[in-house]
Amino acid sequence: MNSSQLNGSTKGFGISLAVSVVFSALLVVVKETNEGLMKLMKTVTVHHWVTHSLVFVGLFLVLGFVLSKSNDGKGVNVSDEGLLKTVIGSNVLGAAIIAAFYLAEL
Amino acid sequence: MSHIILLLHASTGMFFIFACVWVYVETLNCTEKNLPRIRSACVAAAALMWATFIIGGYWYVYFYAPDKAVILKGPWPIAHNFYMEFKEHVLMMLLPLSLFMPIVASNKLPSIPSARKLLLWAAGMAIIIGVVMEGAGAIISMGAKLGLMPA
Repeated sequence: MNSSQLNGSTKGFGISLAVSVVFSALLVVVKETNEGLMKLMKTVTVHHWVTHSLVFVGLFLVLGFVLSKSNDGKGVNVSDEGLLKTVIGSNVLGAAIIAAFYLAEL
Repeated sequence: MSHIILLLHASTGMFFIFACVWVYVETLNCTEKNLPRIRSACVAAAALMWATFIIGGYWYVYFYAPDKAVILKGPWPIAHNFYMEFKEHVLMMLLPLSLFMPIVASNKLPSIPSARKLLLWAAGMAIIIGVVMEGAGAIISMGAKLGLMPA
């Protein structure tokens, strides 16, 4: 049951934010440990970081628009409290993955 | 020129944090009267974040290499190996987060407590991450400065 009072865009882009932040953190680990992927990302644009940014923001926007329109425009079936916890948790997890990876690399 | 770009990056980043504080305080006192101000502040925060990212990204891609070499040869290689690597990837997280704030503010904030709570958390996280980014930038600058000082 969905008792959410939030509009479809908030729920869609909220879930998209959570997914794309964790995806970006995992992409950091994969690209830094996979020479082939790093080389590919360096050739697609002027810098691997630029490619990473474009993929990250592109994923957020596309997924956000798709999820916002889902469920007859009501957005994802998620409670307001569930969305809040997902957004907070994903940002904490994303930052923690990146920090832990580079600390382990020292 | 690269120094001006770098100062502009830090300045727009600071103004982004100010805009998020503005969103936070206005949302704590949300009514129909200040709702347009909250929405304007959210748009301003998003615009400032994107400006910070584009200006900082331009400097990072085209001007950072000499500084990186100095840092790595100096006494604080951690300024690049951890702080810059961490900063360049965590800063990205603020792009969708800053775009998410105007989306949350499009709800009827005065009558929906969960929307206000979500906006407070989004702005609060943006403030914390923003301050951490400013701190990381200061450490990177210090790493370059120490690298240039005679041993």
